[in-house]
Amino acid sequence: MVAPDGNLVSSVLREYGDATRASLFDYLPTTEPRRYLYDLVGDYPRRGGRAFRPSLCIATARAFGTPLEMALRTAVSIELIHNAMLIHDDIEDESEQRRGKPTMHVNEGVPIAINVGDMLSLLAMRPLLDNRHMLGPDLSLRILEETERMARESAEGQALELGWRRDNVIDVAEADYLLMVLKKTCWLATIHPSRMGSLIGARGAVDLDRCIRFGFFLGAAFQIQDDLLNLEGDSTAYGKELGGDIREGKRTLMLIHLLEKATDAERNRLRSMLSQPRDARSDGDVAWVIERMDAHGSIDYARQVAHGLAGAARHEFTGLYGHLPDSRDKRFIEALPAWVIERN
Amino acid sequence: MSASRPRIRRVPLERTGPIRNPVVSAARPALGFGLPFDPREGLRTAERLAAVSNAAVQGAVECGVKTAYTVIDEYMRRGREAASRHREHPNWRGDMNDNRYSYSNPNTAWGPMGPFIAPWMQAMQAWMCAMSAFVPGAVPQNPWGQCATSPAVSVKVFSRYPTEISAYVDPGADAMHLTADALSTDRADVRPFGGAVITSECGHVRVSVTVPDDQPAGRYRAAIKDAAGCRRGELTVEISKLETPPSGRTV
Repeated sequence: MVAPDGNLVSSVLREYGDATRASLFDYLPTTEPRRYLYDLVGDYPRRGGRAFRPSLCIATARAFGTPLEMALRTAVSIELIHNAMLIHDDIEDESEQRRGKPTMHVNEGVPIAINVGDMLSLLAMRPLLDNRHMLGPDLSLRILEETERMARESAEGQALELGWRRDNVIDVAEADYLLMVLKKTCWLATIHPSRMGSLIGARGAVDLDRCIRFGFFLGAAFQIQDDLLNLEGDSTAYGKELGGDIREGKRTLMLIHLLEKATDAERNRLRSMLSQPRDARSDGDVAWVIERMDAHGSIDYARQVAHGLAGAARHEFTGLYGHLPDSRDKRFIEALPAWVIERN
Repeated sequence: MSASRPRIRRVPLERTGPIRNPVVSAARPALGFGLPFDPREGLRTAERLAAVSNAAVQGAVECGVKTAYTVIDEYMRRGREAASRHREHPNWRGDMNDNRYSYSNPNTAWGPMGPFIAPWMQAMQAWMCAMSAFVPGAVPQNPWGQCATSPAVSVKVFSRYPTEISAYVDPGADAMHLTADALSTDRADVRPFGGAVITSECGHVRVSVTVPDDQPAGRYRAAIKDAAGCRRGELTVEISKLETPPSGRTV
């Protein structure tokens, strides 16, 4: 696989991220109630983030020759929905850190955090409604339909993961995991931005099904790399608690591989540990799981699968966007599969 | 989360970057969680990795990608099956797009409730059209919202001969700087001409066409493009020549 052009990826992410955030804050009300709601809806967006999702949407539209402004509102909506889901995910996962700071519910309490997440989801509808001024009613409605589809897929994926954890399901197969990732991660992170960028760029005259494969492989590689960073990343750059996925009992590819390769005694200890509430899992438990993952080659296995999926994403890119004329945006999208597995 | 629950205190990390070498990675079982580092563990782990390589590591790329393709193929197959059940709907747009109802079609916008809603919607449409008569300058309302898809276009033509012009501009393109390609026909022996000037403002596009006196009769077409060269509409000019040309220009 071609090495990622880090400068190109980072400069495009910065440029489109800045454009998205500048427009995003226009959609956040500054009226009352500020203390319990409107001062908080901008909290996560203000913390930064790579703006990967809106950038992919804008770059895809621009790769078709469409001006940035045509995709900007859809990109803003994607980023707002992403932030809304982060707030709710943090509550569901009992996460303590997000982008290097305490999570919303740690700072403000669960009820207020849920309400802020709800409001962010609603605020994400306004830019989609505003699309009609620039894209016309037909295309705008199509984007709304697509957004509803994406939100449904994401919720289904999240339900799978939460259900597995609640019921302590330990016979999750790799295919089950990938289907969960397809829904929970890929639809919002990569499939939806690709589909929206293509839809806007081609003004509706495009087969969106082809974006699903590219988005799936890119998003799955992205998720596995994210899970790896949770084990061994740079805590400052990563912005979340290291080892948090194990503490939360998340069914990652490494954990699934470990459950498959573990001895009976190890599997029993894992089952017992995963059946406990989050607070009952000690630092020693987490360290033991990571040590066993190392011993059984689970971390290396997951890294190799991520590389393979990135290669598959690159393959799908050629079929999906290969016909487009060369451009900075096309090169950015082409560089993403390698970038997602190299980031730290 | 309970507010009274004690906050978990993490042990400071021994390093701040990822370990990419699997042998070195495996040699540090603590991974920042406070267990002692044993330099000999790397060798032992490498031996273990070699021992399990056939089962766990070798072919991981191929197995992972194969499983992923199986998952996405099955997902797409199920999506296609679900979508095929809605093919009879007029706005069915593809296998996985899940467009169940056409919102732009008044007959299907309400799905199975359409037959019950239709009389009420027709009454509302009649009421809206009637009310627009009381508003000076108001355009009769279309409750389905299809009338505002394209900006208004006005055309000015300078020609010695009868000339018919039609112009279509995409919705939203009126906010852009537009230009027109040279007007050409399918005939190779007829030279194109480029006398079209386009000015646009929000909601209105003005097209001005000057036809050269010696331009042969025929149907000429040109793409309307934005500053980035993206197609935003089409201009069609049809020139008819009379047996005896008129003496003056028509506007």
